[in-house]
Amino acid sequence: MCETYEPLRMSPKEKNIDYHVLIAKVLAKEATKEEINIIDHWISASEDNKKLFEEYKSLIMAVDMEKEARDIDLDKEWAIMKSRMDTLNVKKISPSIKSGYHLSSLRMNYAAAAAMVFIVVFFGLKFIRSLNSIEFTTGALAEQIFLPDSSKVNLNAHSSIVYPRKFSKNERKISFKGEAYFEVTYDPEKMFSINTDEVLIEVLGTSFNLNAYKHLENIELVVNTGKVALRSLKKESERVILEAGNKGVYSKKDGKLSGSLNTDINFLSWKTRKLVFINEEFGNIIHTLGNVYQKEIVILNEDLIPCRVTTTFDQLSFDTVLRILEATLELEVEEKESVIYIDGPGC
Amino acid sequence: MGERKNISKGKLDKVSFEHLFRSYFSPLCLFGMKYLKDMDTSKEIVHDVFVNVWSKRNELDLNKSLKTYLFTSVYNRSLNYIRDHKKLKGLEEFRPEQLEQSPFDASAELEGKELQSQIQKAIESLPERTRKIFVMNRFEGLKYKEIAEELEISQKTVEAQISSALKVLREKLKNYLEIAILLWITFF
Repeated sequence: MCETYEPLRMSPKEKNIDYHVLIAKVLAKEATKEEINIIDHWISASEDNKKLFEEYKSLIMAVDMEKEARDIDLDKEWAIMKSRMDTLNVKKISPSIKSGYHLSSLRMNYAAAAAMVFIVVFFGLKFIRSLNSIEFTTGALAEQIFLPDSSKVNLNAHSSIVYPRKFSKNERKISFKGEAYFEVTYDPEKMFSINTDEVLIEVLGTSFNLNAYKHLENIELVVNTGKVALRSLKKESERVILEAGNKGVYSKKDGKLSGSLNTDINFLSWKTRKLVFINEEFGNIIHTLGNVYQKEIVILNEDLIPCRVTTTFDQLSFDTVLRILEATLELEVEEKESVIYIDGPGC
Repeated sequence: MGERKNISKGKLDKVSFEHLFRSYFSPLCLFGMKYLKDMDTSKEIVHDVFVNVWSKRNELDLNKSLKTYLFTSVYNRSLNYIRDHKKLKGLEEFRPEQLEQSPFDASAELEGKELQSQIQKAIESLPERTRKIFVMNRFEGLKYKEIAEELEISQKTVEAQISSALKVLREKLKNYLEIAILLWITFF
C-alpha cells in the first residue's frame, strides 16, 4: 500500500505542499492559476509524477462516466424508443400517394392544371412535413409519450399531438388537440410552445394540464408547477400569465382569456384515477365522472342533482364507482346503448 | 451473456429487442461519449442506431454478433457526427484503425458493466463523511466553498477529504484504471 510518490515534495520552499490535494483541486477545477503552475511543473519533473496525474485523471473520468451511466433512465429511454418504433410502423402504411394520373389529354384546361399543381404542392408539403414530424393520436385510452427533449406528455383519450422528430435550435414547437398533462423539461434557451388553433401556450419548463377538446366551449389550463403564458391567437393582446395553482380559461365564444385560482381538485383525475369530492353536489360529481371515465351519463330525476356527497375514489373502475354511489344514494342505474341513466328518489 | 441466446436465434421480436435495448443502451451511450463528449448527442445516436436495427430486423443476420454491429454503428455515426459538426479536435486524435484493434467484446464489457460496478463499490466503501463530501462535489456538482458552507466545515477540510477519497479510489481501482487509460486516451 505504501506509495513511492509519498512525500511528493520538490524543494524546501514548497515543503508543505500536498500534491495529492493539489491534483484533486486541479481535476475539480478548483485550483488557482498559481496552483496549476505548480502542478504543471511537478508533472514535468518526472515520469512517475506524470503517470500518477494521468491515473487520477482517468479515475475522475471513470467516476464521471459512472455517474452518466447511472443517470440514464432506461424506462424513459425505452418509452422514447417505443414511440419511435410505433411511428416507424405507421409510416409504412400512410403516405401512399401514388402517381397514377396520366396527363392523357392535352385539352386539360388551365384550371385543372392549376388544381393539379396545387394538389401536388399541398400533398408534397404535407408529405415532407410528415417525414420530419410525428403525429401521435390516442384512441379510447390515455397514453404517455416522451418528446425529443424528454418532456413527458400524458394524453387523455381521443387527443392528438404533432411534434418534430427533432426540435430546432431555438424553440420547441408542437401542436395539440384534446387533453393532456404536460411535464416540460426546463430549458431557458428554448421556449416550448403549444398551438391549439385557438390559443398559444408558452413555457420554459413546467407541468400543467391542458384541456382543449374541440367539442368543449372553453379551453382550460391548470398549472401544477412553474409559470405558463397563455395567449389568444385571434387577439394578440389577450394574454395571461399563470402560476402554480392557477387556472386559465379561454372562451371560444368571445375569444376572452381569464385567470383565476384553480378550485377543482380533480383536474388531474383522468390521469391519476383518483377522485376526491368534499361535500360536492351530485350533479357535479356525475359531470366529473363522465369526463374522467369518458362516459355519457344522464340524471333522470333532477332532485338528485343538489344532493351533497363526500367521498374518495382511488383507482377504482367505473363500475365500482357506480355501485358505491348506487348504494349510498339508493340509485337505479341502467345502461342503454352505452349511455348510462341514473334515477333515484333524491334527498 | 444470457441474452445472446434470445437474440441470435430466429427473428428479432419486440421482446428480445427490448431486452437488447435495455442491455446495451447505457454501454453504447458511454461508448459514444468517448468520441462525442456529450451525453445528449450520444443518446440520440444510440437511439438512431436502435431504430435502424428495428427497421431492418428482417434483413439483419442474427447469427453475426448484433453487439459488434451495435458498437460499430455507434462508432461510425459518431465519426460522421463529428465530421458534420466540424469538431476537428476530436477527429484529429482519431484513427480509424483503432476500430479494428479495439476489441469490442472485451473492452465494451469492461466499460459498460464491470468498471461501473467496481466504481460504485469503491465509492460505497469510502468512509461516510468522505463519501458524502466526494459525492457532493463530483455528482452534485457543488464547489468546495459551497460544500464547506453547507456542512459548516473549513474549505481546507473539504480539500483534504476529496483528496483522500481520490487516494482510496485510485488504490481500489488500480487494476481497472490501466484499462481505462487505454480506452479513454482521447479524453481532455
